[in-house]
Amino acid sequence: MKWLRKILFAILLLGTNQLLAAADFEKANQAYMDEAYEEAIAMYAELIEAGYNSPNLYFNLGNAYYKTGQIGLSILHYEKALKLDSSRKDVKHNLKLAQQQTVDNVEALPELFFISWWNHLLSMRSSNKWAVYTLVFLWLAMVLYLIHKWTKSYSTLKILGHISIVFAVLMLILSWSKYRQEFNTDFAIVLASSVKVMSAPDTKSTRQFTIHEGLKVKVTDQVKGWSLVELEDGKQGWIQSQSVELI
Amino acid sequence: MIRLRENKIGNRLWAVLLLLAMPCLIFAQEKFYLKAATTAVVGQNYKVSYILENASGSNFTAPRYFEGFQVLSGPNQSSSFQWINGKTTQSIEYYYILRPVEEGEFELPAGKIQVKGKILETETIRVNVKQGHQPTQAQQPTQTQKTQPQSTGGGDWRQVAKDNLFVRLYVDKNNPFEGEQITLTAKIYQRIQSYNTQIIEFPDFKGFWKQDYDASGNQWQDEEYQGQYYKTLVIGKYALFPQREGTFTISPFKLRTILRVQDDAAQTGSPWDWFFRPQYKEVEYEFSTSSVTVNVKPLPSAGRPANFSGAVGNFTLEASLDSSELKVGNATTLKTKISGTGNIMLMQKPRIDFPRELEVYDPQVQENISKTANPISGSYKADYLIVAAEPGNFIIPPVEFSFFDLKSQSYKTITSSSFELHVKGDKPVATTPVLGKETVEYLDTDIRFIALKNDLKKQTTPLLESAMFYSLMAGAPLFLFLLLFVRKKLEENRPDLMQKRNKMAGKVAQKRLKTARNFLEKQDRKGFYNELVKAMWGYVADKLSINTAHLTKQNVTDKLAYRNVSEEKSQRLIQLIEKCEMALYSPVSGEEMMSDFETAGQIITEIENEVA
Repeated sequence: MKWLRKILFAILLLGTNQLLAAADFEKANQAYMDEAYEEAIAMYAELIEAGYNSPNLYFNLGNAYYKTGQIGLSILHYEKALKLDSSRKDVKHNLKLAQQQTVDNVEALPELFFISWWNHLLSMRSSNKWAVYTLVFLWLAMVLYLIHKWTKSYSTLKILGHISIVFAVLMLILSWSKYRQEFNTDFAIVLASSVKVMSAPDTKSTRQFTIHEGLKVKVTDQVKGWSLVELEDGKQGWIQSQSVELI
Repeated sequence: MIRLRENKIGNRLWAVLLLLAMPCLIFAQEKFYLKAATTAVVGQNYKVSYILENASGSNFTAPRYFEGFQVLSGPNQSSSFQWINGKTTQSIEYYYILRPVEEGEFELPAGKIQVKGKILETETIRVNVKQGHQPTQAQQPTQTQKTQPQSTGGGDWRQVAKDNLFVRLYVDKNNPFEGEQITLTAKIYQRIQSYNTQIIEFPDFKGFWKQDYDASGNQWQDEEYQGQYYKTLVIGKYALFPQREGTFTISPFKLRTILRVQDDAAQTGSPWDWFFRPQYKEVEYEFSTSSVTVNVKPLPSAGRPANFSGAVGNFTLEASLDSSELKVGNATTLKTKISGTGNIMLMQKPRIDFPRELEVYDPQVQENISKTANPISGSYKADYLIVAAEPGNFIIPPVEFSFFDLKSQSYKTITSSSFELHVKGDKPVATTPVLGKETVEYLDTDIRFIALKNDLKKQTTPLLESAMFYSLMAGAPLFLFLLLFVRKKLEENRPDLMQKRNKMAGKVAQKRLKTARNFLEKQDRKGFYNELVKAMWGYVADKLSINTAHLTKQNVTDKLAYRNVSEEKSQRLIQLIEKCEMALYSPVSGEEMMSDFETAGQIITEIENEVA
């Protein structure tokens, strides 16, 4: 019975931890409402430090940064919130407002229509949800096949089983793509107010252009303290890694 | 200053004589004296002359100050040449234009001049200054014209100009209501000639909304003002609408003109002067109006309607709807017109709350203000184009307009009737594109509020990284195969099913034989033998409960022996099956097929009988 007690204790500990975290979250929210944004930022950051993450947590932290005028950090945390839940309208709204305050206006290359459809579809559910759907369709197919075999009739069941398999495969692809999106660290937000983009990972190389706080860039390569970044319009260059933070 | 030149001809004659007498001119004795009248009137110009005759002097020491007088101009210098009865007089005159400021007896100081090394000095003169009995001469310019004032030198043309040329600025009302029109007029009064009169500074109309009256066609007119007749011209006329209550001052007009005045140097009237220098000169003269103060009253607050338009005056309202019956997609026009006198261009235009179902475009507005009528009048027309987008009966609410009526000094509201609009037809499927709509701008300026719901989670491993996901994935087909396999196993060992097959074996074989017979009749060898083999194999399989997988000839013989079927019979069956299988691939005669058919029937019947 020793192991049972251990498990119970672990559950209890987890429970109290959750309760404490919830209280901290509320405190931080209260600080935000009292317009003590710096305090709120510290408290939200502590929660993240403690291993918690949630769309609301990142969203609120982003708001607090926004209120203190730290646009780069606020955009970073909005993006983090969207990474967890890309369907959040309030996050998107605030992100848009924050982006309006940034200097750079990079025109994104136009997306092909089916890619934007795909991205839209992906954004509807989390990777875990898609994975659950995969399992549901897969098992549904199995059950359908089984009934078909046993009764040796109802060929429609067989067709339905095939359809279920197709769906399961689709869900698996969606889940996998979403997983890639959720856990990739390809994108970063510029936090320094102004960053020179160089042609090589070397301060002596020529400067190609300058980017500013709040810009989202794709990090395609990293070499000791330097990151190769790509802008949404396709421009590329090297910047010092400390001036950006990965989403 | 105008000097009448009655003695023109005389002057000319003198000039001719002078020319003739030139060679025999004799100069007279030098002389320096002070010339001035011994009496003067307060406010009237007064001339003091220091005259040097028959000598050329230098260093005239001018008195700087005359006690009891104000120096209007001087010292001015003029010279003249006279020839009387063969005696010539050349004279230089230094003169002042003074104005006595108070009553009393004053002494005019002596003047000094240097002539050929010696200083000449004039005597002093005592002047008796009296209070004037009548308005100063300047205010009765008629006299100036008729009689040459005694001591009026060329220098006081300003005073004369002031009295004979001036401009007045006046309003018709000094105490108007806010928004009530006042008329401001600037009018020139003049009795002397002037040229090229220009307005150099316009007033500041702060606190007023101004509407100019057209002044370009104005004519000179005769007008009596303070007992005098003047030529008058209106140079500016404005309708002013006070914008708020309070006291406002309209600053003066400033004008500049050119006057012809008598030259000071020609003062002596000597023909010599006339001959050598012009008697008139042109001078620039600036003059201005006084300023005007207007005290604006606020409109009464009592009884002010909520929708008061700010209009003050007297107005009428007309409103009409072009057609009250419409088809969906068609348009009609609501015409509104406000006309009357008052500040029509400043009022708030009436707003109409059209039913939402009607598409109403911004009105076409036409403002018509008369620039000649006093008080200002005009009209404001607004035509609303209404497009019926949906069928139904709609009521356009009445047009309301309220203003402050000056006559009754009260607020009035005028209201049109309301309009009914009947729209017939079907609702259009596709909405007609509306022109001029703009995309909704992103107007939010503040971020949305934080999310208060606690959705904290410890970071968990994603499902795609978990073993559970993969085991569930792999588990599904395994589960399927397992179940199918188990079922198959179960099926194989189910006795009830076997008995049924056992019982049915004979019937099934009979059915197959029947089919075979059909093939025989058609002489279809392949079909026949195929069916025959199936009948026999099927029969033994069912009868002996042998699974198809275990259906071998050896197995069949064993099972038949086990069931007490004689060796000979089972041998015959096997041989027949073998023969039939052979016959599938080799030609066989019709009789042989017939006999095989019968044998198969016999054997099945025999085995059926032996195996219970």
